[in-house]
Amino acid sequence: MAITPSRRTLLQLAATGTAVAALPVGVRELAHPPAASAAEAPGTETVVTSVCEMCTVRCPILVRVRDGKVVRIEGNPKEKSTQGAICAKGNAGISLLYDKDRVRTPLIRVGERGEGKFRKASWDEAYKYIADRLKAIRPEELAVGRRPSASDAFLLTFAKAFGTPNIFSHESSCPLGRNVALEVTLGTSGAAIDYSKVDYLVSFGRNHMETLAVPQAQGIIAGLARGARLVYLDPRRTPTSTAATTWLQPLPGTDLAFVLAMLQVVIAEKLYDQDFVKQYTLGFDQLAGAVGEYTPEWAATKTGIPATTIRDVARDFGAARPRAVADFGWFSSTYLNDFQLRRAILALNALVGNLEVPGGIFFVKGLKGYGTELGDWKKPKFPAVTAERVDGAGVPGKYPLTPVKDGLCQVLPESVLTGKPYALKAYIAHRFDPLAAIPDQPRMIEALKKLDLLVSVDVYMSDTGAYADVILPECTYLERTDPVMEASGLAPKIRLRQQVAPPQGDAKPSWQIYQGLAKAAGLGAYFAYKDIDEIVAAQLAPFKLSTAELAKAGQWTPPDAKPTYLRKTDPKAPVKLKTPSGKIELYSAELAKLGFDPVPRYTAPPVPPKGTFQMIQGKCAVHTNSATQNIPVLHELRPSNELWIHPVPADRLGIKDGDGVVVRVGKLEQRGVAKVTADILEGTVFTYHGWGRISPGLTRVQGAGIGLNALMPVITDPISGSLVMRETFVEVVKS
Amino acid sequence: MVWGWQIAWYLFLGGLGAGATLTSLVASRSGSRFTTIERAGATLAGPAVAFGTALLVFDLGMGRREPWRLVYLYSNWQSPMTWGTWILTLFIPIALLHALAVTGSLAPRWERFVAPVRRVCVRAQIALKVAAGVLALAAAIYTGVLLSVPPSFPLLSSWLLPVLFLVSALSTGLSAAVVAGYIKARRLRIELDLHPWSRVHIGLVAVELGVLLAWLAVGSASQAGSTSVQMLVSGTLAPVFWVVVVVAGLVGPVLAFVVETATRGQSPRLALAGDAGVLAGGLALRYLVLLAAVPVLVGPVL
Amino acid sequence: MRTATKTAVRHQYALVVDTNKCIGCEACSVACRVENEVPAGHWRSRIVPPTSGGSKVPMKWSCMHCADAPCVQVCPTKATYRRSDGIVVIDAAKCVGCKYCIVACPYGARYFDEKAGLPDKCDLCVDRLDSGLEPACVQTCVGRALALADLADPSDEAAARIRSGEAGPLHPELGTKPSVYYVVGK
Repeated sequence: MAITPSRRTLLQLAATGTAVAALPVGVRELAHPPAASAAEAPGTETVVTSVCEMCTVRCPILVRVRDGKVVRIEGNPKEKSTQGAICAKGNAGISLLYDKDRVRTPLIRVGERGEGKFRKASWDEAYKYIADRLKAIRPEELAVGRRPSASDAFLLTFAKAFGTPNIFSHESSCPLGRNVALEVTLGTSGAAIDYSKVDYLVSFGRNHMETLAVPQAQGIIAGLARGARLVYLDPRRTPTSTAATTWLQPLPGTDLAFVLAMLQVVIAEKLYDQDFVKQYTLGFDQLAGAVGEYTPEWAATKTGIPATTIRDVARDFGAARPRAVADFGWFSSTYLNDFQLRRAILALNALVGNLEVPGGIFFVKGLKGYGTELGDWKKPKFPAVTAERVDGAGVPGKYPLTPVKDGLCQVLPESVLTGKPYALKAYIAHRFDPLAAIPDQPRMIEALKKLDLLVSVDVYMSDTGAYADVILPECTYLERTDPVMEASGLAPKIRLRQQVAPPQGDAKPSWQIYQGLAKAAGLGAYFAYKDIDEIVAAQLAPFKLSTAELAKAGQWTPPDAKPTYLRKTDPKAPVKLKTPSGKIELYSAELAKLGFDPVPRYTAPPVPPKGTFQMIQGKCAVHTNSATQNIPVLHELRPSNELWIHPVPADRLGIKDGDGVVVRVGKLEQRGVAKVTADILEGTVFTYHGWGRISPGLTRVQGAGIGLNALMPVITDPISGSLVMRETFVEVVKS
Repeated sequence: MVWGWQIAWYLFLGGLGAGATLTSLVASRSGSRFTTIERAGATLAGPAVAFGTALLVFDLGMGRREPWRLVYLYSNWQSPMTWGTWILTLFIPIALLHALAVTGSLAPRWERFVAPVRRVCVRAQIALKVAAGVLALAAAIYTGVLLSVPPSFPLLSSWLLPVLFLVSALSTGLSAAVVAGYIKARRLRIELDLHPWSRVHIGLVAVELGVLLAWLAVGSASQAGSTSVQMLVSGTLAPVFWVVVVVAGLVGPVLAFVVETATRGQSPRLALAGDAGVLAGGLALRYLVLLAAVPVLVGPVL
Repeated sequence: MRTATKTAVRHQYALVVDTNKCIGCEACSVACRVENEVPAGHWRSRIVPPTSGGSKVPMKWSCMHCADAPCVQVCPTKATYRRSDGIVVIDAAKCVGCKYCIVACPYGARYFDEKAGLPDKCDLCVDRLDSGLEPACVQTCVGRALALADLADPSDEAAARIRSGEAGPLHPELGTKPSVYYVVGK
């Protein structure tokens, strides 16, 4: 585009001084949108510090606004964690902000559930519609599901004020198994990996370079550049395979065998840190006894990876200690043996003593440990809840290890359709699309149709929204200030997401939505704040920190809190874990009591029945799960998914690259396009998650691609409550 | 290849007009024997090239929005497109003046407007003919050069392309002049002996066929080039290539002209059919050159 | 980040792409698209993913700012020209939209903006450079794989990688002398 003088001038303004705060037009100090006013000349650019929300990583951003329009989102160069980088999704926030497909007014259904026919309504009308129907049900008959975020507090306050125990997150469709394994083994799921300093990283399908968490990927890339090694296991070639020092292709679901063999070698060849094991772990003897039979030769027969390779990796891992890390991963809703996989991985880490040293695993040094926590807005005591949850989370005999803040989001249809233990009647899905996120979509649709009330709070008409009675348009992250969020790592840290632009149309932030809904439902006392500024001020009060100060920098660490590794200077420093024993539980008495393997043991994944392929899935670099497929710029980069299939079976089935295919599970079918590639194993097929959408509100992407949730059954891990999503077997035929 | 039908038609009309001018000049060497052809060639050259140039201007992204920008086109001496701009700027008026110099009077109500100019043209006709000839040659050659200069499409990067375009320009110009002349002769009820032209045309088409094969052979040397050649001879473009360019445009006409020559002018309709084929083949060739151009590198789609 | 300068300092810009650090995430593609207000359906920069027959690593692909640029040679209006600092730019005010530059680029680095009637391409974010900022792609790169090099600056680290031969151009046999250099192979 043409070089215009005004653009040059404002960029010069941005350049003078590297500190954003030095800009003469100023970083907004209060959480208000920088509207173009008489005081600012047209063409002037303002820069606002904020936090991205295009995925859950929440990278720090600077947002440039010109004449009231957001023109660019950049990373915040002052933040060490990302060095000013943000990914394709982060850059595309503007494309979401101004997308015409966004819902801009409350919508109330006029047609049948699922037709996607709605009429515009005012907020008051929508609140009344919902409140009236909530009056007709018992408190526990309301369930709320959300993908946790910084504005969680409002939905959760509403749910607790209403008196329901049925609060769900999406976590059972993603990292629940891993979290529970971390809790059982280390006493907390608040653990992180010091990626940039790791010398030897083994990753079991954690596809860092494609399923991007910017700080993690950046740390690993920097490590690789200085000579660190990455061993990556995945049946599919991914960008991480290219970046890795070594890429291995195990049969799907056999990673556990690999890890158990590594444990066997590390123990047998005494490659472990004996002092660390003695001081900080419990159950080494039981672990050693259990893994004795899992030799690399045994593992080779399970994984398809040569025994020498397995042994070499184990030896290299042990030799690199303590800066050797086995990545405990992220998405763990994979196979029924996944929980023990995570346990075994954590055991590997324990053996090399990488806890709380540079280049190892550390506990997040949150505000709780620091002593002062964020404040909260004043609210009355929540009513006592006597009713049990519908999913058995936290209940002995059912899913005692599943955190009640998460629950099992997949049980909604069970409750509604079987009435056991009782039928849920109303559901509020906040920033969550159960139809897109949870398997057995047909059953979920049946259940949603049977509800008395279904509400979707979202930026688009999602798949669940298409079946909703009411859609409440939440505004995007650029249009709101959120409650202060914790972003702690080696030191406590808080971040502020600031409003950058006024909400589009009649969209509202959660703090307003649930306040309005609560008032209509007679629960207004729990939302007695004036606005978000008041909430933020209350949160910061314990720190004697003003909103203005926090807004200027965007992040804050208490001045006396320094990045801390507990064992950096003294490898024998005490580390009290929150486990029953206070140590790393290689052997878990808790698991034994519940009837599960107290040390990791091998259970084989199921083998595809003859004539079927094992279906595996993953995420791509330019989309976030099922949230972003309709965003214009990102949709251009990747409008659909394809079915990856190896040339040999493809040839047998008469399928050429680009041919239409039908993917079948019993009577269920999805249609798509084949990508014939040697980058996948012969017995496995792959597609990216997030397509096969059904909502007419997702105009660009409705109907495109293969929808896995329409094919997969619900399988639940009895230990953690996590979904199991890679044990689906499909037939593939040319269409 | 971002250039489409407008450019294909321009290449065709520009070549045809240039060739028609050259045909006209050759015809004038035989005194009054081929006046009809001389006049036909001269008459259609200017309008053909002008129409083609109009298509070019419409194809320009800014051609209709800000036509005054066209004056910038004369700026870059290194660019074959600047050369072309100069050539067309001079050739079109010269061709029109050349036509005035060699054609007869129009109907009186039109003739009175052009008569003074015609007088000057007739007096300066030698200079006009030289200028027209030089510019016609330049016009016929430069488009091939324009396409062959960049390194981006191996099929186009050979010096044989301008040669091919030149020969094709002569051939299509000749056919156009013959067809136009024949129609005029029929209307004036005068005899028109086509067979000397058929004899010349046999040679032209033979040369064109040879250059085409040589061009395809040279094009096959690189990977992108051989992909292009494959598209033409056995791939998606093969039907049009073989049926229109080769059979209708080259082989058919050669046979037609041989028969016309052998029968000493007794098969004019056959010769004219051959000329129609040459024209169809010439247009098709320009389209195919653009469609078959495969880039040397596989880059991203921007 | 570079500091803005007031005196006329000579620059010789180039771009260094370290394919060992590139993960093909297309953050650069979107940053460029947004920063330069590229119209929907078009891009100034993209990633060409690895292919079985071709490159084994993702390749960031945009205008190569060639020293011997065919586009500069063939542009009839001289709207496309090479600045003294090495950046090939388009003066949109002089361009007639003949598309010869698009045809001429062997790297396929230009696109035609139908709405504007003009070609467009990467200009190394000249507006940002002239204000002392890095190009948008360099700034946003997740892997820190991109670096703006100044060959006129003897202390410039990225330029040193070019001078040492560690970074080389793509398809030098085309003879256009690109100013985008790739580090390939560990």
